[in-house]
Amino acid sequence: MFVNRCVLRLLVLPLTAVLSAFVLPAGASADGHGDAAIEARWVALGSAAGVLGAKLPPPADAPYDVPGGRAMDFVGGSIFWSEATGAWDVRGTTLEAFLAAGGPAGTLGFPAAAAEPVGTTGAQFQVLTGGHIYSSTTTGAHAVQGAVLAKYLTAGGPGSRLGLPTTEETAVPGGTRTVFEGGQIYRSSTAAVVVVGAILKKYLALGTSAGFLGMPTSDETSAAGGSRFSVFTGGRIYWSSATGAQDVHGAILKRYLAIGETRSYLGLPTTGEYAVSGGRKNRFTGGHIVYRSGQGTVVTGTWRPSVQRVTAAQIPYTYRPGCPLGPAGLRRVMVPYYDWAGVPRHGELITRTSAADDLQRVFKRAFTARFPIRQMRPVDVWKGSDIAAMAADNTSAFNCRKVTGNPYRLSQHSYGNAIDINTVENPYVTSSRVYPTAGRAYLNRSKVRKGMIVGSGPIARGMRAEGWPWGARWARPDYQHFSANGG
Amino acid sequence: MRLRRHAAPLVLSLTAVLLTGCGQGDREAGPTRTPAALTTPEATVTAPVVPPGSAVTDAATPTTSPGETDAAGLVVPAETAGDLDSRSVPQAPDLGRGWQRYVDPGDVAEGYTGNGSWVRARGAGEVVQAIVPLGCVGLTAPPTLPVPEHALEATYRGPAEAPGVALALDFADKRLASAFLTGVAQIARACTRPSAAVGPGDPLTVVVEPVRLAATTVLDRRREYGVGASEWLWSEVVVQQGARVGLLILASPRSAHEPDLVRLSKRLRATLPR
Repeated sequence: MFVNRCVLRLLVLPLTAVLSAFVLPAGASADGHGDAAIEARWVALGSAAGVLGAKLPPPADAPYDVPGGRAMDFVGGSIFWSEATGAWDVRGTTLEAFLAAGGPAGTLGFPAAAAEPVGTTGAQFQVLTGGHIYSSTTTGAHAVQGAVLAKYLTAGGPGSRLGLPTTEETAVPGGTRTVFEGGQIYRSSTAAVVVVGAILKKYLALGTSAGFLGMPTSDETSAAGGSRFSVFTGGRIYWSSATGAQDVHGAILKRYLAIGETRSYLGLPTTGEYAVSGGRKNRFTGGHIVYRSGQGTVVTGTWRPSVQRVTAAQIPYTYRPGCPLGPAGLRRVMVPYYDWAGVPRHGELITRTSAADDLQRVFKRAFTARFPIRQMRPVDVWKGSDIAAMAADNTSAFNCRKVTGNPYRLSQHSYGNAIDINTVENPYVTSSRVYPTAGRAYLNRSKVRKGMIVGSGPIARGMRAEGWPWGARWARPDYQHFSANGG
Repeated sequence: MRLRRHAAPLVLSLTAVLLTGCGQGDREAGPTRTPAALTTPEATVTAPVVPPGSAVTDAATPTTSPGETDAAGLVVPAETAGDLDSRSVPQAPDLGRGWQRYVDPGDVAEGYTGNGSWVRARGAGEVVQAIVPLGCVGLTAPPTLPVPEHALEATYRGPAEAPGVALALDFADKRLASAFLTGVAQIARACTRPSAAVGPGDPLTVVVEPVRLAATTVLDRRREYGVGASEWLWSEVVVQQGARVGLLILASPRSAHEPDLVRLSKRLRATLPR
């Protein structure tokens, strides 16, 4: 330590001597009150019996000029003074780190306060005009400055997951990195970002900023299902306790984001990207995405239906007191389907309990065949309006309501064993109207287009297998309609 | 599907209480004199009204109308039901000026087909479920109504294309018909106005305003509030005559003159000669 301080003194003394020949260095005291402040600080700390110990032997027993101020060395440390900060002592490994960074002439500037303990950890930190120095017996002393320091403090400082710094800020491809006990802070020209935990471990395994992921651009963020993710210039890493940390990048990531990411049917990645025949693949909790050059990405879901009980509060518009079938006799059947873009989604059908198994089998057949369904939501979304639900090209079953114009007649859908599918592509034709209006474009049934139900297709075949007759057979056909009792 | 059930003694007792005063005539003019059991204020209907040994319906199962099956496998309802035929329901002129027979073409998407006539048989179990209003605040559990042996429906159109529907129900005996009417009266009492206002975006709520709740006659008016509320004011007449019950419900524009319910009840009763 003494050697270092002597080097500092040798370095700065000639410089200050030259400068003082022309102009008094900024902060240097012409009247000697800086020296007085240093002396007062030493005395306040207990003089020779204090933490700084005795003064050094002559000729080193006096303050000397440093850029912007004055300094004086003691057996146990040094005191630095500037007009702006006053006189503060710097000791131990903190002093070593301070001097290694250039002392007051470096970017750390002058100490601005005494060293303070970091909680009860035994560590300490000292505030300087250009940063902080954190030190402990296990981590040593390291300076944290600028944007990294701001991020560190925002993240909670030494009390956070990051803990204490274990390195100085060092250059890496794309920016810098500062290593902490529990994570790392990466700084690029645009941001300083924290990477911690399992995501950091994965990032390190993938080559950090030198790898395909590049520099991180966001802190770890919460996502669906208690998961977390970090964003990098070249991809993302997702983590959950069930799936671990997995990377997603490139075209697969682009598609994953487009379909709703962690909130999509696919859920969280369960693997990183890996090679398959002719392409690349990521697996997810709900399926997988495959990328093949020239073909783009294909999203495939895993068949995962579920059946849940229904409460009246969940169906306030389609169930009301007086309905022949109450919530206890209904089920919320969650069946996967492929939407118009070929993306698997969670469909929600309200059906009578006895119809739940039939419809699961039908929609499994449709799912396997990737039969597209526009949307599958309870009619409550449209406040019970069958007309609005049809116009929205919805697929739905239960809707307890009266037949228009007849308070003594219930709709077939009141019993939860009738279903309308892709209502626009499969319209209902009455003697005078087509429901919905947009369904007119699909009256030519020989011209098969996306979403149309045809006799040889998976929907019609599945319904036939379950014994649900199709309304298409009627003189005034209802191409969207199937029911368990044929009505 | 129909089920035969033997009601519990509790039901018998309840029915007996409910039927107390059934001999009260209802043709007298003036304010209705209703049996005490039918006028309990703020009653919530939860109890069945089915007499022991009577047929009831599986409330969760739709039943088809009796009739022939067409080429597509759909049941085309007959124009008669048991002894009920077009003479068992009010003729259009009985309903007032401007009312005409209406041949309902049916609506297969809604689960029924037309038969080319203004009258058609209804599934006896299905019709019992279907007459219960939807969205009555006090109707936490609809009463289990006796199932008739036969049901015939007639449809009408009135001024401004207002719809009208009549039902003739033929029960095995007078006791069941009376119990049915008692249940209808209970339903009418349960459909009270909600304590809070129903906004236009709220779930559909039906409010029934009883005009007369007597032993063999129920007269009421209905209004709907909330999403999809009918533009019509509905006037309902239900009468029991022996083993038969007649129901008539007519729509009218809310601003129009309301039908004379007492006159309609007399006309309706006249169609139930049995």
